[in-house]
Amino acid sequence: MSETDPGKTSSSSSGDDFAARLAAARGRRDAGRETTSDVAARNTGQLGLGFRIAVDLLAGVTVGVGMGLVLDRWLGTSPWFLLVFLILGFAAGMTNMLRTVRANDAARARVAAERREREHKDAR
Amino acid sequence: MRRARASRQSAGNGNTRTPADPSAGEEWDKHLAGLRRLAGADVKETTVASPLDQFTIKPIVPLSLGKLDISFTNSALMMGIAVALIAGVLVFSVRSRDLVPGRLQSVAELGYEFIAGMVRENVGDEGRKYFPFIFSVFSFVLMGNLLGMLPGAFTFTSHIAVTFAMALTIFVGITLIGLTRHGTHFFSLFFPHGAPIAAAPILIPIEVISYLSRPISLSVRLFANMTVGHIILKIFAGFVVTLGSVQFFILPGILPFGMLIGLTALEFFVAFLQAYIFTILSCIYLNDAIHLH
Repeated sequence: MSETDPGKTSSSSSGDDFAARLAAARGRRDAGRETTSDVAARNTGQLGLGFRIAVDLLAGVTVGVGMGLVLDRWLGTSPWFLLVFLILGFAAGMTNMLRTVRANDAARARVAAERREREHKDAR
Repeated sequence: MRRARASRQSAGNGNTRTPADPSAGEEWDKHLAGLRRLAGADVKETTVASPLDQFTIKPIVPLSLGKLDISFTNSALMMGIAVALIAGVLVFSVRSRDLVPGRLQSVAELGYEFIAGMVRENVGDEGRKYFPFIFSVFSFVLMGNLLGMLPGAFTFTSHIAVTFAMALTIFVGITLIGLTRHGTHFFSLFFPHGAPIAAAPILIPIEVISYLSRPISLSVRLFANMTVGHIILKIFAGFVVTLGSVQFFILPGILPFGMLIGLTALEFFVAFLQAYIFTILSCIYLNDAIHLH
């Protein structure tokens, strides 16, 4: 182990050695650091998630209805575009919800895995 | 006054408050009268201002441009204060450029590193040049939410006009970034790869609507959270007054007051969280525009 011997490292502190030590230090720094989305996954409760996906659905339906109404007024085909875009907007809202929930699940799984790993390391 | 007399009386009665006791019954009637007064005729005496009053926009300096009303309002004033505070704190705190930061400099560095980390993780190295914009958005929303927590202050993030204008600016800007980087290839964002071509007539409208709904969900989330939080705070503050002035001692007022303390703490948390969510979603949308999935 060269780094336990202070005399040896100071004598052979070439550029390469410094780069390696810097990389090692960066690795140590980033290993324990949580990503920002991990913090969010830990801190936002189920209520916050529920509210978020509710807004996601609402936004999709709103845009769908808005587009349908505009197209109907423009082409004079009321109410057909409204009906079609209502359904498409609902589907888009569902897509939004699924994406939010999937991202949330992924972040939660990552946090849980890291916690297990840490506990495992502590137990040893 | 009245409450003090009521409590003195009850002390004289020696804590017996069963209706069987004639003197306690008399006092009981008084309490009931107080409650009836609350529910009935002269409610105005005890109720506080409407919980929606705090969102009223009041012009301070009336101005108009043709038919357009461009008055300087309390909302604009708070935005100006927010910008001045952010700029002032950031410039002042890093003025000494200490290697070991003091308190204020720590706050500035913490904020910088938080957003820098967020941009690096969610957008990557290409996102570095958009860091000033993302940091401005974060600090403006956060300062708006926090200024709203001062008693009597106006919360400009509780207005859909403000949040939607910000979300729309971000949305249009990010779309333009995507278009200039990728040209027409940018539209491949609207077709999930791996899907059969036959599904395109259904999938493309859905993806387009989903894309267009981004500024709406972004702005509604922030505006609704701030509005709801402030209404709840006001309603519970009203409960403190109304329940505290019922002629039972002051006791019933303590319960909503305790809730109010908890809710205030929660509201501070929500102020940070919503600023964070607004910013991280901007980062994620920026990442989509730069990397196209």
